[in-house]
Amino acid sequence: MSKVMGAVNRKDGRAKVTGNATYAAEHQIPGLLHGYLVTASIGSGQIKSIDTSQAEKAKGVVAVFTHKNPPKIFKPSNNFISSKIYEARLPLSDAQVHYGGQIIGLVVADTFEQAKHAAHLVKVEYETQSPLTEFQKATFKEAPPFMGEELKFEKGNVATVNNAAVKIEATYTTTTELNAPMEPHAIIAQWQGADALTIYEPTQWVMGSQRTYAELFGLPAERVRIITPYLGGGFGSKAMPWPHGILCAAVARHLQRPVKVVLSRRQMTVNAGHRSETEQTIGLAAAADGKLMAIAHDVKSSTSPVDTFTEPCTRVTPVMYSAPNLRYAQELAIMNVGTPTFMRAPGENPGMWALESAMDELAWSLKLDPVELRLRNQTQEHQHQNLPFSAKHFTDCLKVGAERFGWKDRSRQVRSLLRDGQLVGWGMAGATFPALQGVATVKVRLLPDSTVHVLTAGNDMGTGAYTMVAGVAAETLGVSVEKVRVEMGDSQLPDGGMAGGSMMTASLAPAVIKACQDVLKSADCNDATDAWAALRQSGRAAFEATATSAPPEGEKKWAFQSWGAHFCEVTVDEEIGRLQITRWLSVMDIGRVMNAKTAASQVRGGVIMGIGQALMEECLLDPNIGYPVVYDLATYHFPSHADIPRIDVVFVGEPDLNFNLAGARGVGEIGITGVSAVIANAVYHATGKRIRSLPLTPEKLMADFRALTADETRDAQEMKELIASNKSHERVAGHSQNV
Amino acid sequence: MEVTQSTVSGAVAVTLNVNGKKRSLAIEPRVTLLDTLREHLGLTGSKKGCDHGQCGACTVLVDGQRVYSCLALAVMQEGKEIVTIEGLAKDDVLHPVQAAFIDNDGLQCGYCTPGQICATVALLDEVKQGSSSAITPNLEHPPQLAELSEAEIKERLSGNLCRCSAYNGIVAAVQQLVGQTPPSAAADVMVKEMPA
Ligand code: FES
Ligand code: FES
Repeated sequence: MSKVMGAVNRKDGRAKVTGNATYAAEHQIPGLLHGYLVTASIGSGQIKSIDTSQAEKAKGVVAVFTHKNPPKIFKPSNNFISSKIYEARLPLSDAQVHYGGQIIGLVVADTFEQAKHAAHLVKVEYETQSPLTEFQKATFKEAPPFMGEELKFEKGNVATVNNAAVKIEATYTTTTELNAPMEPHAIIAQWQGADALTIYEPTQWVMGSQRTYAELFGLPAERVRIITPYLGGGFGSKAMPWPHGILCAAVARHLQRPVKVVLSRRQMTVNAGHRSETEQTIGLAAAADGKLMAIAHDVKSSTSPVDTFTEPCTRVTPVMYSAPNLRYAQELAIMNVGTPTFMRAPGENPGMWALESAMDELAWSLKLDPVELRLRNQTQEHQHQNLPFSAKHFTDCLKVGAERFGWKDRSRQVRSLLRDGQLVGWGMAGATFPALQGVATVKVRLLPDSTVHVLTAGNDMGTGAYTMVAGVAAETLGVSVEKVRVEMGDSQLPDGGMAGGSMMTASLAPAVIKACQDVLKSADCNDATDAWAALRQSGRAAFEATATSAPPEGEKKWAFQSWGAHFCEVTVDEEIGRLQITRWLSVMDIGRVMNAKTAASQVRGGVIMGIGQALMEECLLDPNIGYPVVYDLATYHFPSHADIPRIDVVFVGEPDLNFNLAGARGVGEIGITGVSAVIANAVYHATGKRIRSLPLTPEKLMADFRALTADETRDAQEMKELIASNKSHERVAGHSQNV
Repeated sequence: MEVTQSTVSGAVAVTLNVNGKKRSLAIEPRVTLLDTLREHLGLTGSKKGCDHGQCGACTVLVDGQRVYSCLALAVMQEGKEIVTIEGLAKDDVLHPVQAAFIDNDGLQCGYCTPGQICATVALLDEVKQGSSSAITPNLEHPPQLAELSEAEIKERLSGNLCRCSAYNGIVAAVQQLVGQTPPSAAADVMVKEMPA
């Protein structure tokens, strides 16, 4: 068993359960003003006139800003290195409205209520153009590289494969999804004169935000301080400044007063990111034994008129299954929608939905166990990077999962299991996410009161980073976790990298280990107990060391990737279209597990967000006015307690010491990958309905299953069998209901 | 007694009993209980997730009952006993519900957590009082604490959303509180040891 600290309770648990954890909007700042955004009520066009006179006269209002009087903002380089903002267009830069709900003004007043009221008094006249919000009507062009990575590739020649035993081609779609963290995006900006700024804002990337705000206001980085000890979730949407944050900071400078802006749920629908809808066509060709001969993956996603973000679905194509002929490509369209961004497993999540659904279809066509199909086709190398995978244990994920779930006892027929009048189905699918590591610096201080203080500007948005850092320090120094105090989320601390791309553990843990080793070395002691004694004797205030970890330089020898397999059982009541998930098992290979409690929670969180994607999450836009018809938590549904079964989590594999000296590959995102495919695969097993568009809403589940499969000529014979078996089951079901 | 002044015109004087303390302040009648706690009384433990009664993050106890404080006006709470997350622990000793949440990892980012905990405190009390839920099969025999099923717990907590999805841990915390033995919060780790 690999145990740094076994299963440890969260270090930040006490602060969070007592209400003492302070989130961005909660910092108590004297003289604070409240800002409320004015947003566009059209989907595309120009502001013809904007009348703020009534708003300005309203009680308590201090100022109103629009594109007529925008506060000063510098254009940042926006290159990810020196600065990065989510939306390249700066707020209030002109009269153009690019999408419904775009920010067109900010009202600042003494109280929240006054600002909100006055925001509704701003009168706007528009010149309206008809917005493009329908994916089907968009114009798609070749997508640019994603963070330097080409999104197209071909090896062999897919088109020439003509001796396959089975070929399938199908198109899978996902809808627009919202990150929807429970803590709405919020910021307090406070200037100390004209050239020093303090920002309280939830940010997954403390130092990136510091550099970016510095560029936006023409300051050296050290004149900006970011304070973000707690984030109420982010899931990719809180890594960089959004327009509301930039505007708030600019207005606070203009007024020389601290200003707070909190997005309403309605404003979060378009102004804080989303996952683009996707349309993916997968073609698979296989020999009779299931060996893949060709894989083709073509993807479409959309972006906003004011920034480019491609949902990189094809990143999964070269890593999952080996085929001599393999091709992928991505296209992107510009639509009048808010700017999409990173959302938990960007690319891998929708990519695995399509690929793992197609693999299931192939398994049924070949009459092959889908676990076996995956075992036969897994690849030992990254087919685009031409590098072998380090410490890959996908086989264990599949085998341990199948064993624990009882997979061999499954029925091999669709519509063949009934329980309490409901159809029952089992499904499985793979999971994957790349292992990333950033540069991170950590300072460790041994203090004379026999405690350890670890400081870094990384942060913990619910991932368990506080606890992980404390655990690694405790283990390296040979002390109990209780002795370690961790301070994070402040740009005055050493750069701790980004809480994103599942890389915080892989970045921070090696730096913590090194800093702890260095501090013992500098004290000339083997463990902390000796060092503390030496420290007290020396009369010094502390022994301290700072260390940095970074990905190894030089020629790349390995591809680093995490793996997993999900298994689930669903029940479907076709009469009312109700789908329930009744059993779930996830087996993950993530290298070393740092804390069996928080790592399990990360996987569960990912799985459950995936269940939301599969069952209900859908942000719809009115095609005529281009405005979201989903605008709060009553219209954007994500899972509640009642939707969720117990999620069993198992970790297999070995510490990945080729990756870093902690052996950890990260766990934040892999849990969500493959989830919607497992569920759709189980629904197919239960009902015979192959649903290729998410979410799996009641009307799709209620549809006559013959309609959903009738277009597939390839299994016409199977269809006849299905129809026959369906009839007999309808009788059985009817009978059990009458009892 | 602490008095918070307000210069806002149209404000009215209100005295609230929060966590056993009388708090007098002047606020506009349109201010919600949630915003009063967070913006005027410095009690930011209660969270604003939606401001629309849709998420439960703002749940507090008013006269022992769970209330979405974003849907309650502060001026209507005079004479009532308001308990927020800050009022549950006694000095340094956590309320059993708080401790059970930590034990079972019933939290991640922590933003929904105060609401989940207040809802759980009320839930336990509701079951003790013999109240049924929408899924209680026999209304004549509402469930006793010790026999509270997983489905009952989930039904009774479904007014509290958690986007991090700490749901398994929260349900386990409730099971532990009613004297059941919940499944472990930890994963089953079969990963090979680090080499020596
Ligand atoms: S903030 Fe009150 S229910 Fe969401
Ligand atoms: S713990 Fe993050 S929303 Fe519940």
